[in-house]
Amino acid sequence: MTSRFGELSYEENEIITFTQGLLGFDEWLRYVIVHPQADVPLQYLQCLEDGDLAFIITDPFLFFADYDFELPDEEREVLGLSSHEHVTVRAILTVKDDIRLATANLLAPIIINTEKRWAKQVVLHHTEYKTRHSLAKSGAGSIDNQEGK
Amino acid sequence: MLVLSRKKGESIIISDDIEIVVVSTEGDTVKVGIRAPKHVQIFRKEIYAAVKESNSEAASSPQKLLDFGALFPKGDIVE
Repeated sequence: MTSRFGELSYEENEIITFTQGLLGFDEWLRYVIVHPQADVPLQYLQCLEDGDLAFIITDPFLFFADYDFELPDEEREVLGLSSHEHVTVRAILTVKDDIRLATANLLAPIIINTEKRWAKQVVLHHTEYKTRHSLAKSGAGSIDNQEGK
Repeated sequence: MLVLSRKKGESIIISDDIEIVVVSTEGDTVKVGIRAPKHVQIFRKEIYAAVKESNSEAASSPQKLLDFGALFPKGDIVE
């Protein structure tokens, strides 16, 4: 039972299992991605173990064309990644009420192994990215448009 | 808190499988090397706090479906 979608039905193969919980949410490992508006590239990462818990996520490359980082080998191993083909990157968005003011966390993207359906929030260690990059002001070279810290 | 003094090049072992090495010191800055099993997560403290806080904020988006379309003025959908 979820607070945003009511009773949510999903297939076993849609379940994404986090190898380690999101920072601050270590107990919760099982999620599904819900895409309520097919024509808009934002989704909800809905926790299956806590119906109230859902994160809004998006493909950061759609908004930040220059977004670039290296996935450390240890993270690749933890995620069981042997090739580039099975990787999906999602950024968590912070939204208060107005979606236009949404910001993306580019410092700690969610990396998904789409073949095994495993995921992890990977905190980038040597990076200029922050936890709040404005979507509305995004575009090429948007790292300069960071808000807050 | 256990406080130990180390010189450059010296190490500290935590449990059986984590090693902290003082790699170098330059003025105020200490370069620390950490060897740990790959499942052990390691962060600069302020980064860890920032991500935790950001996740927490993100988790408290409204408990209802938002109209994502408002982010894309009509005819401007990015795919």
